[in-house]
Amino acid sequence: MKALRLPLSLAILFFATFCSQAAQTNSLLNSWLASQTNFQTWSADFIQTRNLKSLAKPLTASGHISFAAPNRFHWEIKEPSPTIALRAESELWVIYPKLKRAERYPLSGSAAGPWRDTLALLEAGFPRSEADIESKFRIQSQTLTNDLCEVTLQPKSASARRMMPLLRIAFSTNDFSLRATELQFADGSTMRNDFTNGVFNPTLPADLFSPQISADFTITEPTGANRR
Amino acid sequence: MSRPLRTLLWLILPVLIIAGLLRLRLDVEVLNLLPPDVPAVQGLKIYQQQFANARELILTVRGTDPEQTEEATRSLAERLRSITNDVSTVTWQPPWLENPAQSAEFLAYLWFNQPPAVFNQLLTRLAETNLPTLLSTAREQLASSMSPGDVAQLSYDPFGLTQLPNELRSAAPGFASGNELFASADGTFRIVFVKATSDLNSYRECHDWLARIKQAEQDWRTTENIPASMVIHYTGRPAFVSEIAGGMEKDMRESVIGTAVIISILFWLAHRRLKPMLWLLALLAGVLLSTLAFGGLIFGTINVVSMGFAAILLGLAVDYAVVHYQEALAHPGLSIPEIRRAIAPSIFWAATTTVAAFLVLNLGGLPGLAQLGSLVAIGVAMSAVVMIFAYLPPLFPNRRKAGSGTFSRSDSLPETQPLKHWHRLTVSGATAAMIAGFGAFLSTGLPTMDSTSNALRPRNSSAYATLDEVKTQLGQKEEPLWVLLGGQSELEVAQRLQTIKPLLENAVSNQTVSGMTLPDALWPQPEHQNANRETARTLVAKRTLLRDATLAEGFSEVAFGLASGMLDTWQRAAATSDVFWPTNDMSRWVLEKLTARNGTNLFAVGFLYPGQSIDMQTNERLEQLGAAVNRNGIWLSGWQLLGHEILKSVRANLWKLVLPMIALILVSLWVAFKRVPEVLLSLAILSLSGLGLLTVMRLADWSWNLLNLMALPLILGTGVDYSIFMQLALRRHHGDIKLTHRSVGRALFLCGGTAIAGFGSLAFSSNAGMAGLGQVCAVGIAFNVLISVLLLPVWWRSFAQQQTVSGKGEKQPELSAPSSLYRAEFWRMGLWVVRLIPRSLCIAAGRFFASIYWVVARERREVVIENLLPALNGDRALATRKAKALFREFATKVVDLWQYETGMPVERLLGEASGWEHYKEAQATGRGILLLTPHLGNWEFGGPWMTRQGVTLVVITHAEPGKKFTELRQASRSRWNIETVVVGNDPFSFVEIIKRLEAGATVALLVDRPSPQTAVQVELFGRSFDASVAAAELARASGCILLPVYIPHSNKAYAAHILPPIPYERAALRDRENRQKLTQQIMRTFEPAIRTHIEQWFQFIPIWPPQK
Repeated sequence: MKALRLPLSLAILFFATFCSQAAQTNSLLNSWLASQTNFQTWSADFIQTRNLKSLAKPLTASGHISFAAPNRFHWEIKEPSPTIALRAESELWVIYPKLKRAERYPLSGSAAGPWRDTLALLEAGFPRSEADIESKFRIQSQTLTNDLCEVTLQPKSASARRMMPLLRIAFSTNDFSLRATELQFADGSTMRNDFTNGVFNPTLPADLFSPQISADFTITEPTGANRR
Repeated sequence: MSRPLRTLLWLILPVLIIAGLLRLRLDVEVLNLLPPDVPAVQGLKIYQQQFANARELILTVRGTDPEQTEEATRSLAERLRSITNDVSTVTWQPPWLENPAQSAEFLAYLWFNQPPAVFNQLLTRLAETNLPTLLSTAREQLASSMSPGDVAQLSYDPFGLTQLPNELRSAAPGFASGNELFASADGTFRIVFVKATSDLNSYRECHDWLARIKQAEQDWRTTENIPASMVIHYTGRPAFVSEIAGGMEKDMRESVIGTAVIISILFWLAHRRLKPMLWLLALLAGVLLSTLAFGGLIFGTINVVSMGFAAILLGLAVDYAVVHYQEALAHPGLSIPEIRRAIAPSIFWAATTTVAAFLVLNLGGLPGLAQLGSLVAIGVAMSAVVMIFAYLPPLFPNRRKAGSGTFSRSDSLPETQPLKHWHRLTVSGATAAMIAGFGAFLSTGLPTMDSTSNALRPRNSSAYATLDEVKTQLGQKEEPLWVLLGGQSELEVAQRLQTIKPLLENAVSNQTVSGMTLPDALWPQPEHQNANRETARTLVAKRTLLRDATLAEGFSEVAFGLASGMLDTWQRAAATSDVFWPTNDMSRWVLEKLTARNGTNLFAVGFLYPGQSIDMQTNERLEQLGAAVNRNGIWLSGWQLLGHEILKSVRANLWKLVLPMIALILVSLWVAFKRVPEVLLSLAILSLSGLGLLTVMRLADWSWNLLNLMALPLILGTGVDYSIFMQLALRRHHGDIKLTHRSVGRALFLCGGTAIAGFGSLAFSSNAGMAGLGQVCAVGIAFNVLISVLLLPVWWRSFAQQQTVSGKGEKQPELSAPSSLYRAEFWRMGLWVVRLIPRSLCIAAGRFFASIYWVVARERREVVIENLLPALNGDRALATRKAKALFREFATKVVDLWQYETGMPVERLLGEASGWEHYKEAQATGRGILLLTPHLGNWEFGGPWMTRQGVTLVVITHAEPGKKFTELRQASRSRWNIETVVVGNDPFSFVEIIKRLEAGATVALLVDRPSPQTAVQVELFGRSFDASVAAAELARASGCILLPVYIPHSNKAYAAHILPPIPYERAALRDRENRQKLTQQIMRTFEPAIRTHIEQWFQFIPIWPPQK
């Protein structure tokens, strides 16, 4: 019986520590989610790292993101090739300035279907409530490292899961600012955004979420053409 | 029928029935019911046979939650895949998503199929100098694209090989698209394609296979704990076949059993006798089985809708038995042969009319209708024969022997009561009310014609409902029309696609249709492929270069996978000189939806979207488009077009049905009645019944459709039947309505009741068309029976009785004349037929017709029997047998006579001879010779026989019916160098004969059928008989030698027998009494010969004067 006492004590201690840590991360997640309602706008710089199976080395891109509640955003990749993804009220624009090309995707009704997954990808870091996150994801795991809490989520939608089985969100436990998002694709490829210089509730230009498209741009609507 | 022949028939019959049943197959393809020459039908058949995968079942999975539905579908698919004995493939999501690597082959095929210029552009794009830019751009896009789909695509396709020319983009499988083909927008409805391992050819195979799949589903539900809210349904060909054929089998079973039960109940209520009821059911079952067997022998495959004949058949067959039985009960003093004699003609004519009416359906252009018509015709003919000969004997064993009873009502009944005033008034009022009521109601409009193909669809069909749900859930808002293109080579179909494309584009631009899809981009283009082979080889040769460039630009080996797969495909395509078709599962899955290949033919299908429901205006525009499109190897088709096109075809063929049917009915009625008032009364029944039916249809809001049109001949047939039964019964009973009601009326109520019940039971059929057919038949027959039994007798008493009563007196003179068939027209036809058809066949056919005539011509048959009775010592049964044989012998004789009269050689027919020495002796005297013969054997063959002996014969005859007929026969004899002297009312004709005899000529004379002027009464077989005194007169006038001769048919030839001369004293013949004695002596000479060959004593008119 004595021989069992130490391991048992260790096990109980480990379990207690684990429970305590789990409770802590849960609490942190709830706090982070709660903090989401404290801001209406947010902006940050980001470095995007794409670790694709088809590439020998990861690809990186850098840019800036602006977000306005509830769901408007303006992602702008500046290097290596400028690309802007912009969500207006009922449509999504992807603009390729270098190519002088813009694509418009209506987001109403069934037309939203093809871009549902892209939206999930772009909006993943901005849940507005616990209910919001639970409606789309299952929480797989949570880890706490220093001041960084990382939550692993699994999309509930099978179609999203087929493309993107896992999604990670990392936020600071100090100020609850979003620090990173990482999307893992079905083939094992990943796409990670590391955010820096985040600012809560900045004043954003009114036209930031409206597409600024020069007259010489070609505008296409890929999901609306000749579909039956 | 002779005993050996009957035995042989009984031996062959079971063999035929078994062979027929073994050969019988059920066809559940409703399209086979429709006219094969209608393009919409042709197109639908091609689509069903070539494109709708006969082995493919579609399962639908409906849940409440998209996640659970998807998981359940995946799990079900995996379970079904594990049943490798039954299932070859299961597809529950786009194959390119499940096996993305397989899309390389299809993409390579699409490029290879492009015009050489386009394929060369790809070659240019992949030029060594362009590769760095191409790959670095891809890499840059990979780094900056916001679309996960684009990222996924570029990762595996850095060369942009999936970027096909615009017109091909929709044809190429997308890396992330295609789920909409398998799931509804909300994801709670999904479909799974399940393909069987083997062909499911028969209904049974489909049914059993489907049952195994359903069992697998049940097992899966249990083991995976699937909730009841996850609902699985089935559609696709195996489900349709199983459902339609199963439904029809159930309908048939229920209808047949239901009808049999109703027949039993009604029979029991009417007669309360078990034995006749059971015997009737047994015979009905036998008839049904035999008809099916003969159907199997004749057609091999019977469409399930044609199987509806069973209900029709039972309804009709029971009539014949019940009428017989009722008559037997109403006349207990009559033997079965006498009842048969009385009833058989009405049954014969009723059955003939019905058989003919149903056979006319063969002219309607609808194969299903034709088959049903033929089956009913076979069954009705068989029923009539079986019921006439087989139903009564076991039921009345002590009445089998022929007696001497007659139907003379005066024997057993009091005089016919005059028709009561109130009765006449009631019937008149009812008739007037019906005419006025029906007329008034129908003046507001007639039942409409349903021009859709709904009648061909099963009612409450789970498979159809599931298919409709698939269309709704997967966003197919409208059913497309199909443009099918066929050819014997890829090039031929490709050319047709090019030909048709501008026409269809024009149809879209002028808004005949709202859109179209043609598989021209997918179809193999042999010319392009031939031209692209070299380019493909060049690309294959660049494999290492492309791979190295990919790796050099920082891509991994994975990124080269798609290109590598495509290069493999091009390598295969370049290595063959045949047209290249991709072969992997994914490619086949895609191509099978739009292309089809069998051993000799290739097909492509395109889709036209009408854009709105097809109304008359749209239909007209589509008809014009169809006229432009439909040509050799191209068909515009679709279920929406089917109804209109079939209706058009039916309308075009209607006259082919209606005219013969009307003619047939008129002929049948005329032959049955030979009296205008009765024919008109029958037509009145048909008309009033028709008006009643139309009124009910209008009230119940029924419309005519493709299947219930079949009811028309049946209603006409039963109407004719009932009117014949009733009016002939009224004739037999001399207008006694009470007695007629007690016998035939009661029987008709029973028959009508069973038929109505039988057809009424079809109203519950799983097939909408069959249900409609049942309803219309039940109502039509109800009107027929009610009008025939309740109104017709009073009509008949009012309009037709007087003529009939007086007609009784007219019958004798009618029978005293030769049959109306003995006329120049028929004789000429016979002369023409024997020239064409071998003698044995002619004789067989002749004997068959004689047998029919024996059954049909009851009065003529009776005359012959009566004629034979004295020679057979009054033995009626023997006389009947001999008379029957006489009819058949007569057929042989007439065929041989026709051969002789056409001048064909008859040497082989001239058999043995006896008594020639009597002729030689007579000839040696130098006196004229008068050959005397009765109507025994083939007396005309005396001519050629004498000619063979070198004797020129002069024949004395009466004038035939009609001058031309007399001339025709004279001409025929003259071919054999035989001279004919026609004696009529001209007294000088005998002077000519006397001169010839005095000059030593040989003259032939028939002695047993004198004209009234030459008749003297003698005794023959102990009865008074009118014989010709002409022989005695000629003997007196010329002193000729009287030689009796007769030429019977014996040992397959005609034997000539010359008897010793009949002695007489010429001077004594001055006395009339002596001439009569000589005539008596002549007739007595023939008595033994006539007795011996009684079945060749061809006397068809009454020969015995009435006995005092």
